[in-house]
Amino acid sequence: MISEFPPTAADPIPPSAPGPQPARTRTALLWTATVGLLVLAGLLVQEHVETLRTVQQQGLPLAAEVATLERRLAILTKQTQALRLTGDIAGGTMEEDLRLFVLPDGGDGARAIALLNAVLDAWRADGRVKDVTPIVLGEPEPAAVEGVSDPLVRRTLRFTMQLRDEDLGDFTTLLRLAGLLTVEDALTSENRAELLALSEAGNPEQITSLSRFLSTNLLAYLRDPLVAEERLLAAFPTDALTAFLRTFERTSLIRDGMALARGPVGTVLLKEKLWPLPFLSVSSLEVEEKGGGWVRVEVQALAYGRGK
Amino acid sequence: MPNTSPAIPSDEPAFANLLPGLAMPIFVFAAVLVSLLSLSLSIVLPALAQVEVNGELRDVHSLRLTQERMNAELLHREQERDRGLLSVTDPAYDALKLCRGDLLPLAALREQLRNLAASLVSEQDTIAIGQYIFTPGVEDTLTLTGDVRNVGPRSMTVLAQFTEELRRLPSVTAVKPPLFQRVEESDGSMHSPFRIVLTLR
Repeated sequence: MISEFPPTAADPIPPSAPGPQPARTRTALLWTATVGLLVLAGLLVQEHVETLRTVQQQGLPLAAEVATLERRLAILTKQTQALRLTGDIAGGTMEEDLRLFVLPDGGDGARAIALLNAVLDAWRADGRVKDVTPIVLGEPEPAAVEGVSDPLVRRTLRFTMQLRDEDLGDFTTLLRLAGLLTVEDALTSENRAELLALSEAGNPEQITSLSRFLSTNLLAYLRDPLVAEERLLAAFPTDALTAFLRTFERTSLIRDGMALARGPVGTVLLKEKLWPLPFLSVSSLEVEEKGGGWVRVEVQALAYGRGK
Repeated sequence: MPNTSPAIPSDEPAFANLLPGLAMPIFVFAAVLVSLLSLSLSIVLPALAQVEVNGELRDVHSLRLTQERMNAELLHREQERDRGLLSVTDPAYDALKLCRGDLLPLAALREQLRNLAASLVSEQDTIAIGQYIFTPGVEDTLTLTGDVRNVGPRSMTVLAQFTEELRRLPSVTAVKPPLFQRVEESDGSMHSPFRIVLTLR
């Protein structure tokens, strides 16, 4: 018979039989452990979901990218090896041209004066220039250029002239070309990146043809681009490269440069051996309308050279 | 006589009575579930979380490390190739070219400005640009000096219109407007001289 009354001190529960209190504790412990385990299970399920999501969202794109990178690395390695095998193609001559003519030691301004004299004489003979003032060449002064530790010097160069309207373009193009040596120097960074990307799509060993194209003397290219372009197209015969070369020829520097190089100025530059031109940087260029097809041009430029 | 029929027991004690009985099976279920999930996490999931690249299975972490290493290697190879491509590698020359940039095709811009001036008014030489001063720098500027004439009292309106059109040119990033003034000469003619500074792209 079950007692209807709670046990009293006079009616103790025998110690051997489990009472309701330990059973309740055991149940509570079991449930607590169960809840803990279920929470852990939830976290583990979440970990599974996260891992699988990561694989889907990052793993697959990463795998695709790594495969592309591996292919590109293989191409670049082959290109580098090909360039190393052929060695320095035109480097020696170009380095010498740079040192002697483009950035002469001590900022020798003689070549800049010779260039202007020769071009102005040619124009004067055709009645295309008049009232040229003496060219004022300043003393060499140190030039600080960001990121350059080598000592550089510069000299100001100033003169005024009256020029036929239609020759203003040639004159500014001459200033734009001053100091450029090769086709590579006329490429913008976007042009360059595009050309290299096109080269990576072809045979990696033909990179030497691209190197030859980039090292082509700029004046020679401007006078006759076909020779250099055909050699390059023979190495990378793609429509994309043909389209690139047509676009490159239409950039303002190349288009205007071609007009200059194929005209009387180009002939003078070749005849008087004035190419490569000294490095000039325009400080100020004033153009004043004089009427009758003439403009007065006042030029102030800096001729750079290496310090001693 | 009072109603002695037994009270209907509520659900609460019945549910409370179920808890001790359910505790062990649910605990066992949870323990087995956690064990299986742990096993899956350490054995099954790593196998599932691998992606095949060129016939080789790799996990995301290793792919990320590979990507970083390859990007660094690619950069190095690119620089090596670029050095091999260049016929001249001279830091001073490269810096000077970069610093100078490309000189503005001034002749083409002058032609464009002259055409713009001519297109605004039917009378020829109404907007006469007399001088162009090009100054290269961090921002290239082109200063135009000239005069608006032959349109009587409308000279200032035409000048304002010209200034607005200059702002719309793709090669122009900013325009410092002129002083809008109308000068009346002794013969009664009116004109508006101007000096406009264009900041070029």
